Amino acid sequence: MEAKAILRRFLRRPTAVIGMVLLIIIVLAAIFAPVLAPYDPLEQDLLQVNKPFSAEHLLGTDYLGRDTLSRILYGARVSLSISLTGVLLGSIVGIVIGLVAGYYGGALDYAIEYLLTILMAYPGLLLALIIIAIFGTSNVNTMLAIAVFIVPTMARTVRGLTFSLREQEYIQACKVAGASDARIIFKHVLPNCFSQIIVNCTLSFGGAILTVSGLSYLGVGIQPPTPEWGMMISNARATIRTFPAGILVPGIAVTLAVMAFSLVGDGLRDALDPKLKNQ
Amino acid sequence: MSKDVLLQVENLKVYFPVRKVKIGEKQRYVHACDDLSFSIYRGETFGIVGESGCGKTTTGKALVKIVKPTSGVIRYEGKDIYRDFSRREAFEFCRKMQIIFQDPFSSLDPRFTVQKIIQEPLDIHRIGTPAERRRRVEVLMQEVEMHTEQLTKFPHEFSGGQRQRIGIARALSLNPELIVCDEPVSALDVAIQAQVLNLMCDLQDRHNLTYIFVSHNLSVVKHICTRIAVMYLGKFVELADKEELFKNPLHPYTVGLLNAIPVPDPTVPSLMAGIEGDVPTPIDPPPGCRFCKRCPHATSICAEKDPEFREVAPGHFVACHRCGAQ
Repeated sequence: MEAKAILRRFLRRPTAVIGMVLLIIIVLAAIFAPVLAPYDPLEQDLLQVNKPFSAEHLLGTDYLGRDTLSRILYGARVSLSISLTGVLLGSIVGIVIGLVAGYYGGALDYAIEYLLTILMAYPGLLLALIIIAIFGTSNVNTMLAIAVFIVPTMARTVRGLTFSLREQEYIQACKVAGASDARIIFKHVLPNCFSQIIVNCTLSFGGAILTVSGLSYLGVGIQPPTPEWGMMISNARATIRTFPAGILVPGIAVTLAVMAFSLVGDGLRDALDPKLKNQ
Repeated sequence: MSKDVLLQVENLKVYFPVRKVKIGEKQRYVHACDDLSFSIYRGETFGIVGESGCGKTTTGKALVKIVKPTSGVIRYEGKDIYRDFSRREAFEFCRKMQIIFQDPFSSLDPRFTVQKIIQEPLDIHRIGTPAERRRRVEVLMQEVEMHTEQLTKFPHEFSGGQRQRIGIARALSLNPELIVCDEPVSALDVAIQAQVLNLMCDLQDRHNLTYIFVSHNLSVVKHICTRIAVMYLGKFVELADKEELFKNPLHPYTVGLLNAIPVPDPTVPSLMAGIEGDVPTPIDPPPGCRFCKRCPHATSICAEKDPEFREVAPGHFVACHRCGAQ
C-alpha cells in the first residue's frame, strides 16, 4: 500500500484527525515550551499561592505560587520524552524477541512465550513499581519501567505476525533462492510487520504517558522540582475542595495527551488494515 | 530424450509429528511422503498427480529443501543435496533448483516492486553489477511475455496470471536446471491456464529445463508431462510414461482417476464409476495397501501386506498385489 492512500484513508476519519491535531499541538507545545512559557516553571512566588485563572497567570498558580501554564508546558516535555524513550526501547527489545521467537520457533519460542505470559500476568503499573522498588527512583528508571511494560505486548504481536509470515510462499521462495535468515527477517518479515508495529507503538504511547503520570503521582516517578503532570495532581490533592483547578488543569492535560495517542492509533490501525481498503 | 539421470530420490520419507493432546500420549505422525523412490531424467517433465492431501506438494517441497525429509536420500547429479554439500556448495546449489508456487497471491512479497522481486535472487547470489542485474530482469520480463514498464508496479496491481508469470520470471532468474512446479496453474482460470502452460513449455524448450510438475488436474498433466507418477496417501501407486499410463493404467486407483476426467461431450456416457469413499487419514496408516479400503478388487492379502512398488513393464511401475500375478 502506498503512503498516499494510507494518508487519505486516515484523513477521512474525523476522530483520527482530531487526535492528530491534538497530538501536533502537544508536540509543538513540548518543543517550544521555553518560548511559549510566560514564567520559569520553577520560579516560586509565595505571595501568589493557589491563585485562580487571571490575565497574569492564565491557568493560575500552584501551592508554591509557580505558574501552572508554564509547568504544564514543561511537563509535556517530560511526559513525552520519558514515554518516547521508554516506548522506543521497549518496542525494540520486544520486536527482537518477537522476531526470534516467531521465526525460529521450537523450544526457544516456547520458553519466550512462557516468560512473556508470566510478565503479562502482572498489571503494568505493578510491574513498573517493582522495577522502581529494585532500582530506585530516577528518570532513567521510570523510562526502564515503561519499557518493561511495553515489551510483552510488542513481542507477542510481532511473534504472531512473524509466525504467519514465515509460512508465506514468498519467504519460502527466498529460502529456495538461498537467502540468509537475516536477509529474510530484515527484508521481508520486519517490513511486513511494520504497520502493526507502528499502530502498537502509538496505542501504547497513551498507556506510557498514563504510567509516567501515575508513577509520579505516587511519588516514585519523576522527582520534584521537575514539572510533571502526575506530580502536579498529587501536589494539589490537599486543596482539592478549596482550589479544584489545581488538579483539574494537569488532569485535563493528561487526558488530552492519552486521548490524542489513542485516537491517532485507532485511526492508523483502520487506515493500515487492508480489509477495510474500500472504506 | 536422453536417459541422463538428473535427480535421484531414494526412500524419501517426510513425517510430520501430530500435536499431542493428552499427556503421555504416544507421538503420532502424518505420513506425508512415505518411502518414495524415483529418478528424474534431464529435460523431462515429471508429473505427480493425486488427490488433495496425498503429499504431492510436500514431496516437491522436500526436493527444494523447504521441508526437511525425515529420512531418505536425494541425489542431484549423484550428490546428496542434504549431506554431500558444504555450506558454500549448498548456497551455490540453490541456483540449480527453483520452485514455482501454487498461490500467486502469497508467493510475491506485497511490499516489493516487480523489479525487486525478480532481482532478489540475483542480489542474493551477487550476480553481475547492479546495472547488469536490472538488464537481466528486463530480459526475464520479456521471456515471460510481460512489459518492462510494469517493473515499477506492486504485485497487487496484477491479475493472477500475470503474478504467476512474475513468479516464473523469479524462478528463471538464476538460470536453474530443474524447476519444481507446485500446481502452478490450479489457482488460475481455464483460459489463463492454457497461456501459462504454453509459456512454460516454450521456456522449457528454450532453456533446456527439467520440470517436476505437481498437479491434481489430469488434463493439465496430460498436456505437459512426459512421465507421470500417481500418488495416494504418501505413496506412489503407479509410475509410467504418459502414453502408457493413459492407455494402459494398471492400478485400480489410476483407473478410477482416469475415469473421473470429465469428457466435454454430452453424448459420451459417463464413466464416472470413479472411486468410492474418502481418503483415509494419513496419520499412522495401518499396514497393507493404502488403497484397500476403497479398492473394488481388494482381497485379504491387500489388508495385510504393503504391495511392493515394482516394474511390471519397462518403465512402468505399479504397487498392487493383483498386478504382480500376471
